[in-house]
Amino acid sequence: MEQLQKILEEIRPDVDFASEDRLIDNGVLDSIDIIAIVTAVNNAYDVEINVQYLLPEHFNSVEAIYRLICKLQDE
Amino acid sequence: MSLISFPFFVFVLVLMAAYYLMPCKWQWVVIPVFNLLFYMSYGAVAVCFLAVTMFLTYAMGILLNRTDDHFGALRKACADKEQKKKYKADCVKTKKRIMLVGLFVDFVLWFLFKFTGLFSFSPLGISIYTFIAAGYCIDVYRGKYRAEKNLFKYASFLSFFPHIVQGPFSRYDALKDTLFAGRRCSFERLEQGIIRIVWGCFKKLVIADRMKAAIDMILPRDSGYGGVYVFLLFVILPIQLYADFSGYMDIVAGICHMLGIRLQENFKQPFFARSIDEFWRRWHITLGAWFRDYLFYPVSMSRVVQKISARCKDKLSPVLVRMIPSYIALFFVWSATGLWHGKSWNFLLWGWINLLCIVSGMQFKPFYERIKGRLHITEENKCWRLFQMARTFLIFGFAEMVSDIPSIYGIWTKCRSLVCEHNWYLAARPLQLFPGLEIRDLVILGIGILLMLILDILKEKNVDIYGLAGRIPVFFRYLGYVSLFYAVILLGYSGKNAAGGFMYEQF
Repeated sequence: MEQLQKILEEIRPDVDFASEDRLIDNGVLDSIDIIAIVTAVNNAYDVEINVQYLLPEHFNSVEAIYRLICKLQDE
Repeated sequence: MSLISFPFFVFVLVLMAAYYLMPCKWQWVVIPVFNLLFYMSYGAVAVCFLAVTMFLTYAMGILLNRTDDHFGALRKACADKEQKKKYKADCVKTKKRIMLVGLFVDFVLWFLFKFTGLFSFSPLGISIYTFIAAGYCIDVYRGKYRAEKNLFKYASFLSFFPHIVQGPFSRYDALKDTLFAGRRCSFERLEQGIIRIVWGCFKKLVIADRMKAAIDMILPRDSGYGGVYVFLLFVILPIQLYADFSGYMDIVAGICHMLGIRLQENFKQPFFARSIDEFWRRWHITLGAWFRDYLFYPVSMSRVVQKISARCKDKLSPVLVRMIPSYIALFFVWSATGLWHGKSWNFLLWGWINLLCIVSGMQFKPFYERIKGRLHITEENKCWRLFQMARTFLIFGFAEMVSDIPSIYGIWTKCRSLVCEHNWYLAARPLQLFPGLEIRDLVILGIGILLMLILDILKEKNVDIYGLAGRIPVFFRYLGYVSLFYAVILLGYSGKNAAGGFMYEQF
């Protein structure tokens, strides 16, 4: 989780990822941020996030992204 | 049947009567009938091509659902984890094949009409319904929603006449509930819808067509208008296009509002955008969203592009490595957006100008931030905001000029004249600046553009326009409505260079 938060903060240093739980719904992250996050996560965790997973519930918070990574690692 | 014509006025009247005379449960049935009538007015042959796309994508949706159900049942009945995984992979593979075949046929039809010149005509709205239908199939493939089982309901959606000519690019999940829900007639809704239609006509007939007359005289390469006139083009082209396109959207959104149907908005005060990137999130919103969801994401997240990014991990900075997928995808998106607007190279160049602005803005953002810090410029600074808005506006104006001039020599001639032609003193004589327009036209344009600006400022401040109008005493409110109506009738431009049709109809 901490590693993930660090990655996200590198991409968007202006966002408080610890407290924000509506990153997509509130328009905090845009499409470019999402792709930067997907690319960084794919490289760091050796997973493959594909388009089907591009849903707000998977990217609204650090916890949600972490859950998605765990799910993909289990598959 | 033009949207601004007496037959269309009668068409809308009969539609309203038929819609509200129907029992609520069956109101939606009226929609496909009127869609067909509207589409037939542009020629019966075009209906056949629309029908091909409609049947094809409808069948594809059903097939995708059946595939999902089939493999879902197999997985449910299976206890072995490995076998379940295999079923899932097979399901994805089968669905992908179905989708690709469907999309191929869908886009081949569009390609044949748009790019090959094999046919002397192009079915009305083929670029719109092809993309809407493709979006529907991809959404069903991704499992965003279930495919529509009722063919007539699907036909109502795809051929929905308010979106089929110029958009918006409606999404099935966003439109279906509001399209198929029954509702009683509401005087308030009718009033609001009518005034939005009249406002749309005002933008189109009083502002856009009047400006088009001047643009048509300045724009041709051999028009003899250079220097300050070219700069004038950068300013008036965006306003003219906005008045024309958003005027159309106001008319169709007004009709939908009268029916109680919520159409997706296509504009969000675009001239308040502070960068080209933001501009395209405010202008033709549904087209941008289409390319984002169905081209930008798939390309940037594809294995090939992600591999390219991973290979650069040790060679480039981490920031650039993360941005590579977006840059590659943006290249495809802006090339496709350019070609969507037209098959000639100047549309491609138009797309690449936008691409260059967006990518350079992203790549040099830290540099710009440092400069701003040194100059003590903050984001809240009003002068800075105005500068950003003016810069975005002029870049868009320049790009529009490029898309309107079909030869590189023509563009070069126009740009060179900005420096070489010494007629900038005319900027101090605005009455001589607009060829083909008289003082009366300029006064009307000034008032019209001011009204448009005031309304956009209010919307930008999140003011509920309908609510605001509702608070005005009835007498003054209706006086305003009647004045606007008469303004359209009396001031609608009908000179020899009047534009007539809407600009985006050609797409």
